[in-house]
Amino acid sequence: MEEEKEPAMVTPGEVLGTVSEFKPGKGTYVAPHNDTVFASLTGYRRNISPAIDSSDQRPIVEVTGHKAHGPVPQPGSIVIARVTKVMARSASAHIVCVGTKSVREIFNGIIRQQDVRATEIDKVDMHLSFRPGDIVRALVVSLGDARAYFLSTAKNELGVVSAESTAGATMVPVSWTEMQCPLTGQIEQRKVAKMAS
Amino acid sequence: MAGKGGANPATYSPSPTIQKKKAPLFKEDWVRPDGRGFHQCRPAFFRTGAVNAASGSAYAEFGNTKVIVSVFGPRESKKAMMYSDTGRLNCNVSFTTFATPVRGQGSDHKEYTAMLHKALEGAIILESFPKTTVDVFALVLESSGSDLPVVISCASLALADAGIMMYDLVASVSVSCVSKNLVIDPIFEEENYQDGSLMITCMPSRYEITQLTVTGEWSTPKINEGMQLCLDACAKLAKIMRSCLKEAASDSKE
Amino acid sequence: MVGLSLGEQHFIQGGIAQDLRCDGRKRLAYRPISVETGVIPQANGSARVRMGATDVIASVKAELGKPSLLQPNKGKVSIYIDCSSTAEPAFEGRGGDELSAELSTALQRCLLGGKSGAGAGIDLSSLVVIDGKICWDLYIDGLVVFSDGNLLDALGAAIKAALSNTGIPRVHVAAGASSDEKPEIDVSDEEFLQFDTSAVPVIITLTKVGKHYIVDATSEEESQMSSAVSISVNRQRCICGITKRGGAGLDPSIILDMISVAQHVSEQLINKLDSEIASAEAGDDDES
Repeated sequence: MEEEKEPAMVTPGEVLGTVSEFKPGKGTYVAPHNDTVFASLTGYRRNISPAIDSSDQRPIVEVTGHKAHGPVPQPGSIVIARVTKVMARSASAHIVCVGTKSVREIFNGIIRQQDVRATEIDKVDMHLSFRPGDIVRALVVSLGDARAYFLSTAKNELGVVSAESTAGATMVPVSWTEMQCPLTGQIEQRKVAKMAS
Repeated sequence: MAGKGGANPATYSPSPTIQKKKAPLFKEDWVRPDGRGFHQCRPAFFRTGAVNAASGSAYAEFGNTKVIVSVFGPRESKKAMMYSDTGRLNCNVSFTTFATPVRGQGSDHKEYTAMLHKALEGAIILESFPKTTVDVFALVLESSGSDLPVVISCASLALADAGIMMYDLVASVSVSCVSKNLVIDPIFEEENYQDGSLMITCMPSRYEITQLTVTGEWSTPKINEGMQLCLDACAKLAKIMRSCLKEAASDSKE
Repeated sequence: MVGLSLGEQHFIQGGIAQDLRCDGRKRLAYRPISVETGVIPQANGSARVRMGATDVIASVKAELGKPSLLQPNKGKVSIYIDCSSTAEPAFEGRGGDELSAELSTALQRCLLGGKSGAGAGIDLSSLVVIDGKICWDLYIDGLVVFSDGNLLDALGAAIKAALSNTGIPRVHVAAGASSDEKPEIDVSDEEFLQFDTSAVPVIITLTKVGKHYIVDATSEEESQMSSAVSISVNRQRCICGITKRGGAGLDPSIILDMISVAQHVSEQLINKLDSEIASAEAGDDDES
């Protein structure tokens, strides 16, 4: 692979090459009628050489946006959400981060009773899993309905990552179902996320 | 600053200024009121990032026609809307009360809104933001002819500035048919006397027309000529738009 | 909204590609057209047009009004289309507003010509009674009774038929009235003036499905379209207006091709419509 020169700036609709030359990556698309790769964003064009062992030896062309739009939750993305309301069968939450990026505008999410944990899903008590104000790490399972994205915390590393006790202090996790207040020593129930240490 | 000499009371006294004579009717050998050639567009000025609060925005100025467009989102669709797999585009075009010579209502312009939506819809990769909505709000600050084409071009620039995935930029130009001549990028006076008009919005590098409207009586060769004029002008316009985007992008890098 | 299974979609697309559509038509063939005129006695003129299952009514009402200051020697025409919820439940409440507005603007664009009035299907200066003082205001109202695609063409045809059916009362202006006063006028109950509708264009919508385009699409076929171009053509084969629907882009050469096809098809359609209108008018006279 030759040395990349000053990366060229492209704008939406500029031709980057043909399908036989390049594999389309992020910020690009292929027009089906003439097999041309176009840019779909404004940004710098980059050619990435393919992995040595891959069968496809075309370099990947991508446009890294100088300014991308705010992140949008998609099925499979890990989000950080703030719980707003806990009901008997579900909990509502505002999605504030998608992946590592914070959103520009809040999206609504909902954690249903069957998506709280992986085992004994019929015995879940929502009020012993979340409280309003908790910060939760969750997985987007689907786009959901017209109102909210469906979120799931049914994994060890998913669940409450930060919560405040009734005394107002940030609690410390003690097990995967309990958190303790450092001031009063009181124990509260949560679906706690196992943090990678 | 205010008391300059102090002699002049700050009251409103209308002084009789001589009104310029009304533009004469378009006769055989007429010249355009602003002295342009028939096939010459007004100088176009674009700038992105005009509104800080928006995800993306653009300001366009074609002669006296001044337009500002902001793009918000992608954000959660309004509750009343039905679920959809792909993204949605929501447009609105409005005029300021002082945009027109006669004081307007400053209200939304339904026809332009529908046209803007149709012109942009085909250029946006709606699959890239499922279930969410992108809002495009256009405001015509000053209306002086060819408002809709300016709004459309400016909106596509604002979308690009917002980082919305698009198949191509959208450029739009109109021609008017005034007493047997085709004049490109007509101003208000010319639009008032036009026999017919043709507006094209296209994706220049894909060479595809997304929206086309024609009014008035046109013969086939004239349509051909008008379309060609518009397409050429769109290509030039797109170049200006691209350079504006690139300039803005490299500025933000530094 | 038409809900079609994948199989049905392929069937429609495949049929169009092979020039044999679901109802046995070729790509450039119309469904049977039937025209009735004088269906609304209260209006100055009216017509009902059916194209296959699509059913529309147009009425023309004339009222005396004042010409606008900018164009004192011209009458005014306005077109408004109503999509009734009897046609489709989706039109209920404000649901039909968007379609109504779209159809109304498209028809205005196609039938009323440029700002100066050139290319208009209706000679606006013939509507003037007294220059700058009194003119006829024509209100053209369309109603969608049942929608099975190709609404714009059907409405265009209905308006053309309704205009041929329209009689404008003759107005006598009392002589000797000075120019400042409001002139005295006398609207005749017996004498009516007919419109010359030979210049009214017809609208031909070419709907692009796959690589081909078709005329007079049914709503099933319309659900498969990528884009549609409505072209209004008059007897002189001049283009009087174009509107495009559907977001997908089109190559300019395809549009030019569509225009020439529309010009070709228009001739048959105009002849067909004229004979239908003539026979409807004749039938109308017999009854009265």
